[in-house]
Amino acid sequence: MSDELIQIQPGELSAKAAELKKEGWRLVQMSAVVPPVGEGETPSVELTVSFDLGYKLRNLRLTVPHGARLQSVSSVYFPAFLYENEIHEQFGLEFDGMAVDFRGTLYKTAVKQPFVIQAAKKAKPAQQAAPAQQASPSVQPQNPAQGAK
Amino acid sequence: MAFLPMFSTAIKNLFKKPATRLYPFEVREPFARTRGNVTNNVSACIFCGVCKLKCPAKALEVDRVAKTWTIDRLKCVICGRCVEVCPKKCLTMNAKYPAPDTARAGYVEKCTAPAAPPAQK
Amino acid sequence: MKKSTVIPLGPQHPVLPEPLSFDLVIENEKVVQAVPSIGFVHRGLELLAPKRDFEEFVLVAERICGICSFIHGMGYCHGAEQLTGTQVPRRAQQLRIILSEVSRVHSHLLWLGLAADAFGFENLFMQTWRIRERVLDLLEETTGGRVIFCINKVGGLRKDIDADTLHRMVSALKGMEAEIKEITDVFLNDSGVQHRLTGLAVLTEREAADICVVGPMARASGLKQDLRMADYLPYKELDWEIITAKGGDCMARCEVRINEIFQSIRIIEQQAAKMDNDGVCGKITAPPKGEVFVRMEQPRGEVVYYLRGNGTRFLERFRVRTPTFTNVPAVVKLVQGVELADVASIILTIDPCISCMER
Repeated sequence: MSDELIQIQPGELSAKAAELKKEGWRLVQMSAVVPPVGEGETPSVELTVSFDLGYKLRNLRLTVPHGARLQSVSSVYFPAFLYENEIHEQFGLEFDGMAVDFRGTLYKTAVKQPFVIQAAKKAKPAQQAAPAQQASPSVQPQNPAQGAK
Repeated sequence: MAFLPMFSTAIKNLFKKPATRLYPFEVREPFARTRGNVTNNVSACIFCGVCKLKCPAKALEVDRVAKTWTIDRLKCVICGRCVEVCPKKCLTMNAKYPAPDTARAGYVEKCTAPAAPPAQK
Repeated sequence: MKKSTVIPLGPQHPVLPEPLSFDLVIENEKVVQAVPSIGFVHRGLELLAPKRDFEEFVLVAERICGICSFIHGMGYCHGAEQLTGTQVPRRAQQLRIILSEVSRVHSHLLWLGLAADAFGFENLFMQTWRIRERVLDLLEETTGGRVIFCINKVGGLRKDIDADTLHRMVSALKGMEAEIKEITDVFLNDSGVQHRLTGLAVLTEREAADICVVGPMARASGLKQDLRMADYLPYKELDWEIITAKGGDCMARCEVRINEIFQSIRIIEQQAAKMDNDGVCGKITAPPKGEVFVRMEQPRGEVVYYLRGNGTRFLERFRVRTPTFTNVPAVVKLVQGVELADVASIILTIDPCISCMER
């Protein structure tokens, strides 16, 4: 099983999805990551949309700043609305034109956009610890202060 | 399409013994590998705290100075990780589940090291 | 004149195994629209990944769900093994195949029972679960737990299962086959069951591909899609075929799952007869670094795990996309135009595992 990872621009997402739908690709998943962010910087969100054809996985990746607006894919792939609502609530991205829009009430968590908050909380120690990690990536447990939260 | 295919099964069940046990008169013996609860042989324990570090449920408390080892059995998920990593092998995984209780306090077990015998060394 | 009412189904409902809510807009007993509502068992397990050492996180990953527990643990381990470059011995892979298939048998038996309960045949539900108890006993004997196994670790398995125990497991499963057949014959041949399930919630092959369903939902509509054909474990060394059905209705899905139970027992028998002896655990030599997508076949369909490591012992991101997450939008479409009494059967036909879906 070979995986492909293709970087695309945010505006290209709908067009690429429509193209892949015509070729018969199936939408597998949409997920997001907040890459490590430095202290005081705006977090960005890296969105990965995966498609499958004959057990081959093709991933489209786009990086957008937190709070960006994107065109929904659910007009092309109906089940995308559930992924988009989840990403909207956990990462703060806005999707225009979702097939079913929960308006932020999908998970009803006490803390909104928890992944962005987690990345922001880790911003300060990450900067200080970064040089030490690059020097010796050995299998040592990290200091308990950061690990045992 | 058959007519009432479940009928024969239902009649057979009338004459089979029940699928349930008469608990508490008949107790099911656990298998040897069953994960029931974790206990500590505290006289062999060195209170290093590795089990506390590795516990995914944060159910263990170890005090090296006071020589106590506490387990909160309601938080413990009986995964066996502490038993695996213990350097002195003083933790054991027993096959019996803890008995039901009416108070939370009954599930927190604190073990203290026995006092060192006098006139040794 | 048609009068519309809104009836909420869930989140607590006697027929639902886990909390899931649908607001059904009904006109004269027929459902016109369904609005799903999820999030009742959201525990935020993905947020816990950066806070637990990657070797301990297997134990958290396993506890995402009680029915699909083995494959969650295995999928996480597979991903972590690829990120750390750990070699998994062949015996561990073969034991993983055996335990995945036992897991599949127990999950499908569970589903059969719940589906019977959904159309009101409680006796059949109890009989199916009576057989399932014996499968759970097998799992407890070999792994230590009935539902949560704690037997996967990064690098292989924690404990070995010796040849004697495997032999007993295979004979126990083969001994159950006759009883399972007796029960599944009721599902397939009873006139009452056929009346309830045939022709309900039809998904044609085209619609199934359009709405991206996975697992037995897709296979019952004729799509040949089974992730066991991809190379995450050496399934290709065994003799088995993808089971599909024509028809795409609830009865076809029932058939597919029943046939998968018998197929799983055959796979276990084949694998137990040709086991290697090279240990059950590989050594981890480096912390996880990089990113990987792992796809596996759960009893409910295709599950995707995404892991990203940054060279420390704590993963940066762990994401699970479970098959129920992809199949729930299908329920929203299938439930339109159906009578209220059939909605329960349709929800159960996707084999919903809501705690997996919401992590």
